[in-house]
Amino acid sequence: MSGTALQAAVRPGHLYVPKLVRIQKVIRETHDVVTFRMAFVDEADQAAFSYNVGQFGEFSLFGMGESTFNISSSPTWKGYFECCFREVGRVTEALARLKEGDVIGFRGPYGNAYDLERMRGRDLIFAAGGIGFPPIRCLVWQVLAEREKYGAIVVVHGARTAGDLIYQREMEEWARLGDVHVIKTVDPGGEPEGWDGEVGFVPTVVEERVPWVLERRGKGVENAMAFTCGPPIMTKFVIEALIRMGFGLDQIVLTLENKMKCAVGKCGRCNIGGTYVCLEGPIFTADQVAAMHDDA
Amino acid sequence: MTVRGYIRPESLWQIVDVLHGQGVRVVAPTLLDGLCQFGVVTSSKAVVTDYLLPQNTYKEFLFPKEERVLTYIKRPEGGYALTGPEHDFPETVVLGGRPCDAAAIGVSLKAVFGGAKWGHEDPLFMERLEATTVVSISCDRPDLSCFCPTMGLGPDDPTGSDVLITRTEEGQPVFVLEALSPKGEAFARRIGDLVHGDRDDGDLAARRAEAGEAARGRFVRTFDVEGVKDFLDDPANFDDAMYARLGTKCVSCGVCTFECPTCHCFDLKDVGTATQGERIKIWDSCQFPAFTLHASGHQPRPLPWERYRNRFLCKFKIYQDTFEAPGCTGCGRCVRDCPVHVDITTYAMRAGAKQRKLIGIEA
Amino acid sequence: MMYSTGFQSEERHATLADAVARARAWLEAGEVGMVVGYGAQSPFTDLTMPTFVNDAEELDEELLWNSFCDYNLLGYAEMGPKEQAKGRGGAAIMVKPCELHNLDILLEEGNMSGVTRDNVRPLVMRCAGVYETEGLNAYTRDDAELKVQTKCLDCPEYLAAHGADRVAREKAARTDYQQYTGRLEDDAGVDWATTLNKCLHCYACRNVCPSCYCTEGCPADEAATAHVTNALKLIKGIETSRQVVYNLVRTWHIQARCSECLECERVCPVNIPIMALKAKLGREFAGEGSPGDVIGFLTSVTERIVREGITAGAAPEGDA
Repeated sequence: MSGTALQAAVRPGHLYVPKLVRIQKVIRETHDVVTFRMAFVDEADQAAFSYNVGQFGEFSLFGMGESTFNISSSPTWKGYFECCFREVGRVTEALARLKEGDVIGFRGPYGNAYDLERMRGRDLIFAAGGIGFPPIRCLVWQVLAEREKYGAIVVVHGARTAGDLIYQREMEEWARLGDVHVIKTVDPGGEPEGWDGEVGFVPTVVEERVPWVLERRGKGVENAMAFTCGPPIMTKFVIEALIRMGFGLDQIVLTLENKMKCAVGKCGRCNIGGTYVCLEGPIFTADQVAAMHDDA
Repeated sequence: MTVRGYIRPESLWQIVDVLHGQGVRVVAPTLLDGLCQFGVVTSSKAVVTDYLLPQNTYKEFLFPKEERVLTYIKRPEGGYALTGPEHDFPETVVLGGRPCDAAAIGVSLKAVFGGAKWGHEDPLFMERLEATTVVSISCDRPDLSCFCPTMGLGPDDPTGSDVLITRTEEGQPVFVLEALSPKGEAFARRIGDLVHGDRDDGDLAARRAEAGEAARGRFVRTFDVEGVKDFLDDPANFDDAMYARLGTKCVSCGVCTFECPTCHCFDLKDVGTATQGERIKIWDSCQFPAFTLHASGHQPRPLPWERYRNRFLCKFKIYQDTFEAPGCTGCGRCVRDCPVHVDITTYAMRAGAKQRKLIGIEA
Repeated sequence: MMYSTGFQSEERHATLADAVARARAWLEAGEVGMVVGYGAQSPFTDLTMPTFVNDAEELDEELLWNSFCDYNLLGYAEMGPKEQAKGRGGAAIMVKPCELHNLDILLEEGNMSGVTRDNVRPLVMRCAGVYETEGLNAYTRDDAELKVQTKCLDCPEYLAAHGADRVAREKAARTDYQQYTGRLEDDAGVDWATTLNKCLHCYACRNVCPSCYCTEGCPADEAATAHVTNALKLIKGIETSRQVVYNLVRTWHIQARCSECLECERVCPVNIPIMALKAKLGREFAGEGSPGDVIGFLTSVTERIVREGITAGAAPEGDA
């Protein structure tokens, strides 16, 4: 059916009105994590849609409300885009029950994006914990789409147990490329029978494995950038580990989350001290975060 | 000064009847629930003429307390039919607003919803503003809670108004009318016969200026704001003991935010079932505990004084940084009406004094 | 007014200096870690505000005592157990004699309130009456018409301070006093449905009430009132609003545990006559049920009250 006819009464681009998107595929990543692959109901909208890697959107389940998710696909992929979320509450639990063909709403893209220019030629370290992986995964695929422009790539992904790791097939695909170092890890006690990955918290694994990768290339950390996303406690320890390894705060990139509603800097909800996360973030360098008020 | 003439005191509120007769919606101070509030009036008889400042602001006519932004109906064949918000804003004159509200609504809220700095213009607010002519009346008798001069404005400040009417003091009082914009000029033409005297009458202008001066001299709540923003800019001061000291008694009722002309926080809620309903934009308050409560249970601002700290930071720093407009115009409503007398000016006074002492300006 | 049984016997501090000396001694001995008292709000008004002092050196500068000291500081009684938990003994709290009954209630319910004679030490002040402070931020200092609070007109201490003749004259002249006391006996003039539906759910009444000290499981919170309102509608077919339910539930909950300090009425932004509601509930619905399953109990009490006493009314429409 034509998306235009459905939305004829809505002034185009109205600030708070979502566009309709149809779920093409539902991928169960784990027992409580789901990926939606979707496209705009209106094909013209889909063809015109563009976003920068790292941006987020507001996903509507009409009748329940909107949820804020990172756009977890790479902008280099055409014809669809993705989000990945964990069931934590009323809306996400209801979203997780949707099926292929179901229609939801989308507003976006919002927020800032990763600074690809700054990343060119550098060695890239990615450290993702649990449901913090999607905002990292989209960046990894973006980088792989122009592989020659970047240096070494190391991806560390950890979760409580093996059953909580996400994007496992993709990590295997990256490992098969030959020039991407892929490390999966589970928390101590979370390893199943015959586990072939690491055992240890993400910050520990980063500190043990990453320096070796860089040394092998004959490089120090001056040419590296690290990207991390995950539970606040993990992020804190990852940053401390990176600092011990010699990273400067401006070489460390993270995403901040805060409760959001309008996503366009008007509802007044997402500020951390003087910074509106939806306008100036959600992607920040560690030195930017260190300069923020302790309001999160 | 763009003096157009004067209005006789007995004719001032007849403007309501003239405008109503012309099919214009008039918002003026009126009695609602026993309180003087801005409301729609259809006759001069409904106007409260002896007032300083209505309890509410007229922001609710531009940024409604509750507004439907979307209706959805699930289609049996799949998908939804979406209908957007209604865009039908009657031509409106706000008559009897004060300079503090005019600046807050016409400049600060416009900076938020107009998206001058960050884009994402909100047409619901902007079109209502476009359809509204703000006719403010200068204050002559500020009360204990008013502090607009401290915030860089004044009882006769024209910022944000299309028309400013000032009552002269010496001799036979008249209401001097200044038209400040094309909408203001159109208003003056609308009320034609009620305006007497000459354009740019020097004597009238002088009397009008004197009245403004005299009113300025009557403020009690005056204090030094130098250094307040610098104090707030420094993240180290975020943990200052003054926040718990001044804000512990706060009961998080939200009255300050609802009466504040620069406050703009809102929520988006779906009301309905899976098959049909609407999404409404509804006023919210950073003073409510659930405002920043995450789905995970994480609560960045669990205590009332932490939330009031955010309010103070917003009005005296964040608004200026994010929207490049003043966060507070000194209307004094939050000071006047807080049920437990939390007083934002005491925050500003302490912050300013600490900063000035730090850099050696004061002992 | 509900007066403490200890009202007459409890020692008074005749001056602020007396109270400060006692507080200083306690602080320096480590017997309390905090003094909760009245401080000046700002240089512009006579309004006072609750002030929390941890340092004996600051006592003289921060505390004051005068007829503008309107807060019932036992609303901050939780500071006592909190200081005790930090190993700092407890809190000293400036208290007016009329508020002693709140302390009685807190002590009686000590296993829930956490308050003991050691961790909450009252500094009882000799009081000659407290002014109404509503509107003091609006008038200029000279213009303000100061009048004593209605509750003071019935107080034995106020009577002792000012004499029977003066008090009788004041009572006769104060229409607000007559209206208040009249309403306590007969609420016929109150349109409860309209009045209660003005409630903003600001929780100011709950937050200032010394008897509302529950930090978890408040039977008048969002979840509980929504539950009761829905249960009344779906199960009993009674249409009412959360505003009505909230006021009934909370007022019922403090019905027998209230000193009538009138703080709730003072802070209510929409002037709901909470004491008249309390009196009505006590008069007409005494002996109703007994607590067990709190939500079930409150649902049945509210049902009876709504059906018989307070007609339903939907919340008023919003503006614009």
